[in-house]
Amino acid sequence: MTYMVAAYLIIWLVSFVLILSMVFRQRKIDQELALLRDALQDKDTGR
Amino acid sequence: MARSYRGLIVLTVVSGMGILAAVVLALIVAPDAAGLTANEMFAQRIIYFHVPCAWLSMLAFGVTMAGSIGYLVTGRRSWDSLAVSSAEIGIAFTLAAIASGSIWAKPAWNTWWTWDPRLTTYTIVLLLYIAYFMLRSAMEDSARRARFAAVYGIFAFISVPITFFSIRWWKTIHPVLIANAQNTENWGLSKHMRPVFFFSLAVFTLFYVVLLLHRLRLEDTKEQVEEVKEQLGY
Repeated sequence: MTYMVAAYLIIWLVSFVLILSMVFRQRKIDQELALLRDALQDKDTGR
Repeated sequence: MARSYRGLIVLTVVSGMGILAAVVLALIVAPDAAGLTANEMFAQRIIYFHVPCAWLSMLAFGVTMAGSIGYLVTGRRSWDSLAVSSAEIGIAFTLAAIASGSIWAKPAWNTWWTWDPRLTTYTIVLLLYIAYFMLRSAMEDSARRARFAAVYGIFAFISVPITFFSIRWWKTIHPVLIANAQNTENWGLSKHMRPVFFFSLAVFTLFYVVLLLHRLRLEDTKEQVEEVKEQLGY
């Protein structure tokens, strides 16, 4: 039983880490894009 | 919220529910394998997730190869995005398959690891795709990086069918679960186990599609960042 639980945990741990890393990277890049778009808007309006 | 993003969210929820159903089927509904000790019998239930992980990783590397060919033929960046996104998912699930297989090996083979042809070739696959990312990170110019990675992605894929057929070509202790076309009776699974097994395979394929779509969204946003940076003169 221990082996089965350990194997399932490993599979879910890997999946969880992959999903979490994608979520964090997406959040970071979305923030960067928003900041850059603000800077572009400022540049266009001449502020 | 864009319609395509809403669709992706729905697909993500469906995939999550499918995985939950697969867990229930694999742990409760699937019948016990015959002629095993109690420890082996529990461990045997690993196959419902270990094999789909391996399948997913091979599928992912196949898509990397297709994306690489697509990039070399068309020169469009979206093909490179597809290749790199799929390779990342492939590496994660190769690790999951190797680790879960190693845990299964302890009660089944009485060892965590042995240099069996399947395990050896699969380790080579893992190392080849880690090198794929090392190659990418070594190049600054995006077009050059995509071109070199595409050529490498095509050649690296050769290791995948070798790994798949290794248990059929060479003497090995690794079980052969899926019978070949010439010998349809020679299944490593009883017919009562097969529905759960194929359900898990289908659910993992959907899981891969969902992960790939999310990962492609990330690549798309990266591209947008670069475009805005260009407009700003960075």
